[in-house]
Amino acid sequence: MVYLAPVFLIIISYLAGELFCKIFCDNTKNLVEKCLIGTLFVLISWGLYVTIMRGFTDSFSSIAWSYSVFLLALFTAALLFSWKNIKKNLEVKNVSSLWPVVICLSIILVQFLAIALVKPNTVYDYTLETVNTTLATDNLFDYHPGMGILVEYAVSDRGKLVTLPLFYAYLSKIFGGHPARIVYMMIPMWGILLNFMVFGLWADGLLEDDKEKGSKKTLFLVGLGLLNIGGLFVNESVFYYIMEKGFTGKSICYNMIIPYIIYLAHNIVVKKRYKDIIYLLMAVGSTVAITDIQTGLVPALICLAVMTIIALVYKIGGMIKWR
Amino acid sequence: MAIMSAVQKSFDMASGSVGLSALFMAGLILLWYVMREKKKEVTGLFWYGLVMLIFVINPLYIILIEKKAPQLKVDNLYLWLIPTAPVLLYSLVSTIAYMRNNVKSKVQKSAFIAGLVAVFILAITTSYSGFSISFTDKFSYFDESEEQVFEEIDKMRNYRSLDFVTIVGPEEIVEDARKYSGYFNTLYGKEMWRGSFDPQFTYSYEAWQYDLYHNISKAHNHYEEIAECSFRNGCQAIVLDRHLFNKNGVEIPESLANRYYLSFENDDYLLYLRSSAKNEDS
Repeated sequence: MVYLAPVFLIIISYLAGELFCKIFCDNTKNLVEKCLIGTLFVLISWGLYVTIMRGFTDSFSSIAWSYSVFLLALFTAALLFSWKNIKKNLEVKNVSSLWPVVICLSIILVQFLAIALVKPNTVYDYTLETVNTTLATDNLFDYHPGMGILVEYAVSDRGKLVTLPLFYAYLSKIFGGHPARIVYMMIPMWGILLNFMVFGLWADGLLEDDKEKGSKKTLFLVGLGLLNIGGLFVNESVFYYIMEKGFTGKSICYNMIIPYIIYLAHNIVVKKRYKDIIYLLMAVGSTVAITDIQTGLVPALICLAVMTIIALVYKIGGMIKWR
Repeated sequence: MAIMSAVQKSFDMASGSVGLSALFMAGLILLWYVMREKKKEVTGLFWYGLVMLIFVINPLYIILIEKKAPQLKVDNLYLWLIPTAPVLLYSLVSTIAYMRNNVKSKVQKSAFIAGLVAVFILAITTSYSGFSISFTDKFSYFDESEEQVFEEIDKMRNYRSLDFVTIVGPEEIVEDARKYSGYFNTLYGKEMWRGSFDPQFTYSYEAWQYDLYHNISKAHNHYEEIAECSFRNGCQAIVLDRHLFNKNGVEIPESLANRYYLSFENDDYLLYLRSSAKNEDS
């Protein structure tokens, strides 16, 4: 059951994304982008829900149970209101060859195997300890994850904004099994899928008017897989983090959220898709829920600032040229 | 000189290796060439990559970080804002496309592909500081010896119907005990030697905890003190490193200060359980 966790996450994210796009009347998003939007929505909704509910209760199981009810309601609403869209998105259209899909799936499976066989680097990490502490004590932030004892001041107020380990504890509660299986195996696999989705969108954008887009996109994604696998040997690079520390908030931030922020910023500035501003704000906001502000939100804002400056320079340059 | 050395180190860290950094620079040049060929799709990527590169490796940024926010150097994750992956991947795709359109001979194509593979491997292997990877043991994330010890402790916990068990032991046992089970508490945490889990907060340990930690590393000489201190603080299980006794020619004790008895041993560890557990077990 625990091995279905990435599939469950992708399905829930897709349904959330489908509903979100329906609410904002956005018909421009494909299946992959809806999954990404839904992932951001799940991360933010969990973070907000925990932050609000810890004002009322310290019990993790009651928060988990009520969040499950929320997810079930979301699942039902998505099926009820977006059934036609879901059917349309899941239809296989005009596929000339299955080879690109087979090749991409193969490289993804090789990465999955590497994640399953290689021990993660947990030297300075406390994610699994936090998950175990939450599950054993049924408490949110009052127990010290390093020792498991009740202390007066276990986590700072800024640290309490980071709810990603609690999300992993929630998944462990649903799927059972040892939490290490969820944290060290399933979450990095989910991260790989998100990484491929985001860079698939990048490939679509960079190769938009290309005649051999299909084969080039496959090569692009295969290259990404090879870079990630090579990352096992390139210590402290972003590729290393996705393979050996894929469960950390930093990894999810730098391998999925920040590339997606750049993609959305490009859509807003160049393609004038102003509805993407909502998703951009969600992406920036989700960095607060998954990692410390210093390592998530601030880099995301720097990235946005650079994109804004480039857009402004182009606009001013265009105006000067026109004159 | 220190600034330039910091710039060079930052550049290495941005991609993770000298090789990948060099490939990224080459990729940027290729993007500039493609942009000149009027392919507008790469314009955004080129300018973002160039601006971010200049932003994070310029001496002014490094001076500001050193003076105003030295704690940001701990992670240096801003360097990952440099778009290494898309620049490298677009360069790869463009290069292969060029080869397909302009290189007709099969031998030349094979040599081209072999060259690309060699460059990739060279780029990956010029890692600036490598940790060796370790493999899971039958898909388990715990060392086999440690797992045996934890299983024995868990059996004791279930037998005595305890909610939680307090353990003390060497660093690797303390680190992995909390990962193995949330029902295992420890008298000190791994942040004593690894650093705090919360960047805003550091837990203060007491003197007896530091003494206990130091005594555990020399358990062959201090096992009586370890037992007394652990007993005073409600510890139910003590794990000692067997190699310390073997290396120093010290006989392995059957009990520690008549408080804990030897319950389990394997090639690496000795597990002592609190004496009241022995009476109930028998």
